[in-house]
Amino acid sequence: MSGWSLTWKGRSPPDGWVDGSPIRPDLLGKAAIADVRAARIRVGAGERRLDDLYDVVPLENTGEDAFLRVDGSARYLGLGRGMERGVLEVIGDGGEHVGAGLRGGEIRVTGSAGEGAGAEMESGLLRIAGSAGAGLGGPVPGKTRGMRGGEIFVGGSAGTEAGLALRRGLIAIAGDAGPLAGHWMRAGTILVGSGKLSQPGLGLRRGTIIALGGAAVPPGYARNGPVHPVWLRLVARRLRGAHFDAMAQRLAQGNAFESWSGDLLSLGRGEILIPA
Amino acid sequence: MILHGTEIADTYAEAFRMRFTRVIVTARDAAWTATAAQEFTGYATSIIGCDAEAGVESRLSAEESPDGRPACSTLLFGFSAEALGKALANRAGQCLMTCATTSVFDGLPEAEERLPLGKHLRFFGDGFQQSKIVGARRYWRVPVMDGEFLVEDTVGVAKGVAGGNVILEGVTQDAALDAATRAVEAIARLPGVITPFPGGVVRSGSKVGSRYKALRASTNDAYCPSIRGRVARSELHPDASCAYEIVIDGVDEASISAAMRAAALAAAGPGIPRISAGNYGGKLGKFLFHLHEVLR
Repeated sequence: MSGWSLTWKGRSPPDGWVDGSPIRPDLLGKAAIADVRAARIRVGAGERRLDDLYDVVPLENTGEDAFLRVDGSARYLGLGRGMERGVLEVIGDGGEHVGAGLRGGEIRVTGSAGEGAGAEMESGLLRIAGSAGAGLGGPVPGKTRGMRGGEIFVGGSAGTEAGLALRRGLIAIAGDAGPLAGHWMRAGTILVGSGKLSQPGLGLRRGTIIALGGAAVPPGYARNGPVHPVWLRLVARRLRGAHFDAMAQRLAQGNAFESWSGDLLSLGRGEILIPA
Repeated sequence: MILHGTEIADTYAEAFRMRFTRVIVTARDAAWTATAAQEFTGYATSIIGCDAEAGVESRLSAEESPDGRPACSTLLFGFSAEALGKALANRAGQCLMTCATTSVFDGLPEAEERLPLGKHLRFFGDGFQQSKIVGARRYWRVPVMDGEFLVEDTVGVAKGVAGGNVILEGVTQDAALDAATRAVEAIARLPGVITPFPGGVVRSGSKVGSRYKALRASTNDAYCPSIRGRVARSELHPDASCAYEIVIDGVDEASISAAMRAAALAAAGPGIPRISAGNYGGKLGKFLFHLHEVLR
């Protein structure tokens, strides 16, 4: 039940982008201190030892099987990429593509995340206390398939195209989301807490967009009328925790939602739910 | 052994290995939940003549309920996973999907062996059904006339024990039935067990076989007061004029033992000269529950 704390040497990150993909509790959490210190990490065009960048301090009684606490930075790329288990706690910002390809375990970001957070995630939990940039849970550049499973919780807002090409899983955003949420979504669930969604669900094949702040429903949708979906109560149970209690309460009360089926210009088996 | 003035016979209950599943039923309110659970577990007293043995295990609190609505936990027992799966799908389709506002959840999510539930029932949606994965669990949303029938894709199945029992012998029918009622109420407070017969009480206890070839079981004549003088050997206590059996199915041996103990403790007292148990000479069942041991 131990782990490591990685704090920036000199209290500031280096110049240039830092490849965060080796920063994984499943790789480093149980490693010997010499191995952790000697681990290689790419910075800009070069490669450095981990202890060139960080002060490595052991942590006791973390309560987790594999645990890593790391100082944050907006200059990370792919922090925790492909992680399979354990807990990665990021004190500050998570940078671009934090949690991309996550396969298990939990990443907690106390600050905000840049573009592509949770891109192509397969399982596990990505929790961002602040806001997230564009393409949350979407595909990595050049690919067509977004997140395939797991859960993303964003305490603040999300940028454009949240849940782009989402295939499975839950994305919950406590604040608002930019235009084109759920664009080309295949399945899964996107929940947006506030703000009127602009152009949500364009090309939506299956899946659900829940717009608690309302939505400008695109023309490819047909109105079903008011519904009381019981399954939202199950989603509410997943939401308990910081930033989401009020949202969970709204889902758990069994209130009516206006249901819209669409996008009928695509497969048309998805839906947008808006509080009635 | 004497308990509260009641003789505890030096005998044992003989029980069998069965497969079981736990199905959680929720609905808009407690009344509809009870209705659904009652229908789902109806006509499920004995595997001798029913497709399953079933009963309500407990009512769940809002925190325990998967969707926060009033919920009942039910247990369904069958001789094999295959037979259980068939009974489950039929019963859920006819008694739960049809019942107003119900949803159905897996009560054994950790079990490796799975039975299809929503996986089969979803086809009622005629192509309009939708699957939804919440956490790691898959649900089906089947459109129905009051909204959606939400049902979990699969439910777990595990090894359980069926056929635990006690036989309560009363001086009068009233005394025996009152004791049986107390026993069933005591068992109802325990987790992991059901009493599948009407009101938890069996009046037509059976023995294996019959003089009629078509029947697998027939009346337990040794405990029938009205033919005490005709049978070769009556098992009734000389002071008894009535007997009721409480049959108990449970998730494991410990739960059966606890239930038999609770039943005997609740039932023993004035008007109950003896508490006994039913067995087949130890030749048929894998599990033997000695009354003196469960009460020790």
